[in-house]
Amino acid sequence: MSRRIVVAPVTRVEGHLSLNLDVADSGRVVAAHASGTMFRGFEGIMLGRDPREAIHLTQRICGVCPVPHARAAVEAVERAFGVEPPRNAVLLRNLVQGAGLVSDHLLHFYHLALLDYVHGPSLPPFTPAPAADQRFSDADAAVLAEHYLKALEMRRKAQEMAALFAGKMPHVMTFAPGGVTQQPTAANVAEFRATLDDLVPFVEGTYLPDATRLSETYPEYQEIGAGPPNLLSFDAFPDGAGGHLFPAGKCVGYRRARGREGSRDGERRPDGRGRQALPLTDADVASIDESVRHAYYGTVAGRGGSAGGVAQPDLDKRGAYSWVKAPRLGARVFQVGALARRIIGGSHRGGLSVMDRLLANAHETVQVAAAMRTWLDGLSLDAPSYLRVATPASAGRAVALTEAPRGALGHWVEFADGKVTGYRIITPTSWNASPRDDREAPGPLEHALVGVKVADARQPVEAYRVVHSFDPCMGCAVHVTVI
Amino acid sequence: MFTRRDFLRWSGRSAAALGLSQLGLFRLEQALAGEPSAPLIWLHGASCSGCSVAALNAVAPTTFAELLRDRVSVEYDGLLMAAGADLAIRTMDGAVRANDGRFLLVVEGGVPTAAGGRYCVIGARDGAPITLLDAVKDLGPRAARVLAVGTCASYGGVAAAGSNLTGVLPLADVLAGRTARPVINVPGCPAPPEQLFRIVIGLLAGGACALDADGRPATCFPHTVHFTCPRKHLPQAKALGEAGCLLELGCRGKTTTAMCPQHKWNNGRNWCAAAGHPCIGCAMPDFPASPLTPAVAST
Repeated sequence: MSRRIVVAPVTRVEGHLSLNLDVADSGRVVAAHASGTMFRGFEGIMLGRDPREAIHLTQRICGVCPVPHARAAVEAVERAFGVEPPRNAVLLRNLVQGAGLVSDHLLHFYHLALLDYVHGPSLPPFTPAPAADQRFSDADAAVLAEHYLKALEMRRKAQEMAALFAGKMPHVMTFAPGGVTQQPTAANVAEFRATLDDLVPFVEGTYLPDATRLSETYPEYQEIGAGPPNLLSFDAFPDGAGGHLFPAGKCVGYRRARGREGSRDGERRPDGRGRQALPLTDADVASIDESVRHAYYGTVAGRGGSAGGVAQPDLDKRGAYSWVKAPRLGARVFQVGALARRIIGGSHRGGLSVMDRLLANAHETVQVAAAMRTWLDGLSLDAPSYLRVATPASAGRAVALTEAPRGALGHWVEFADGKVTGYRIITPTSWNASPRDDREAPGPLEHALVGVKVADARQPVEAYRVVHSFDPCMGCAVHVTVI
Repeated sequence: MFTRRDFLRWSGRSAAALGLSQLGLFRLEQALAGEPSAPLIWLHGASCSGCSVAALNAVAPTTFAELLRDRVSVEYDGLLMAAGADLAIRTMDGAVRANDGRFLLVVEGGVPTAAGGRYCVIGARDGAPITLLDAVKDLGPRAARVLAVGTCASYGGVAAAGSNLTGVLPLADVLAGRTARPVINVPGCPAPPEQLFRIVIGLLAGGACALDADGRPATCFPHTVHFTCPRKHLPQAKALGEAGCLLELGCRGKTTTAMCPQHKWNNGRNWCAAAGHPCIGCAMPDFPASPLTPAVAST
């Protein structure tokens, strides 16, 4: 016998998420359904507009991770126009996207996830809090509360770094076909570098140690919340010479390496990918499809390889329980995010779990902060960062893939007579928080929740820990696929 | 730790910056000395959470952490609160009961009204879904003041653009005739945190907050972007990124009421025109107007 717990809302996520958990008498979750509960009706916003406006409009899908949307949109349009941005622009976009990623991972760990393990300062909105399973001493909890506040300042500074080249954050103003309208100067480069110098000691000396300590304090969460063993990453952060900080790849049926447990050093293959990772082919990308069997949409969405196919909402559809569609690659369920990136990039050979996800984010923040120094050094103050596109193409189609902090992001655009005729977006949280698909296979988050033992059905903190490890962004997941 | 005493010292220093008179400052000090922190409830609707992120980016007139510790008791905020599910909703219900007529209600995002509001469900009470529409109709009349934060809540914004099949309405329209005092619009995409917290602190100090015809606090939104733009006397730029006036490239600064050139963004680090891009009018009732930057689209 099992009974159903309604967890609504799940807080400390971007947007609107609820869960239905079927819990056995033993307290174990036997089935989970994750619902995106808000639909914005973006359909029709982009249709008929200049494709360049997608750079501004698609960012408004998510104020937490606007930069990858801006980047995917501008690169899709550049590809359709046949325009190559100057090297400065590539590096400036990396710097804005990198600073955004650092800001986002800090927000995720300290402000969204950490309160599942430790009480914050004793005032609202940190009280009341779930009472269960607090393992840190009062003294250690006080230190973490201080770090919570310090991290607010640090994530704010990372946003300020991004704004130096973005104009403002959230919502980047400077990405345009042909480059970045903010030219690097001695002053803004020095300011970026000085702020980065503030940030790196916190990331290396506080964030990564805190994440490591959390993992050691809650060791069973190094096993809980695995999710499906298939991982996907697009490539991101081009170096301007053909390489990427994050290589594209997929991994089907990942198995943790035996021996050397706890080692975070992976083995790379000659192509730079992890031992178990496969290249991501164009055919793979073309095989991305979205199931709407259990989503509140009437018509079936088009394939990932194209931009077309408007799905009409249907609030009363039988069997539907979420506004999130279910993207699948080759009909398989994939999880995406920093852990997927690190496995595909060959720097993680541990398991799949709540703590592996939190640690992957922390290690990646260190990695991106270091890469920002290289990109900064690569800027040329005498070279342009923006080249005007004299004659934009009036018709075309293109796809641009990148990585948002939470995982793989793709934009597909089609336009004719200078007006958008189709625009499709598949976001990381669409993968991770997807509902069941045509084959009734649950989404990664739903999969990861099965087997979790909940002590108090009214305050299922164990489920929160699993959910927050994916850092769901529901604003992105819903109302974006065709706009 | 930042204490209430620190806050008093800081308010004294910043009285002018806040636009507070000596009387206003005195009221503020009285309020601080005697009263517990003012309760605030922050609801997310058809939003991107960008206004929340911007609020976390605030430095002046206060950081979010300072506001939290010393001035405002955030009883409900789905993005930051520790409690979830039933405990979160019960916390909100309790805070509303205990502070009837005294709390500030902040709504970020548009309010979908089609299909009885079912396009935006913010939680559940005893297993039954609570729509944002239900929540604002319930809480709006019971709040001391209601703030529509960001262009979506103020005017519909991106959430209401295009065919608007979810029937997003501005918060003030949803609450028309239901609140004792008018809804305060803090437009911008995102709402500028300098303006938002200046308004909040002004309200806590007992300010009346006079509004203009578009529901904005008149003292916070006195001019167009162009009026205070340092580029307006420069020669016309011929391409994005050039150091000239961006009017001929489609800048909406002349018709956009906002103080961006003054407060700038992200702790004064930068702002749109300074970064070489025309204003897209993100604080205006017609945002996102098509085309966003008229001259660019016409090329």
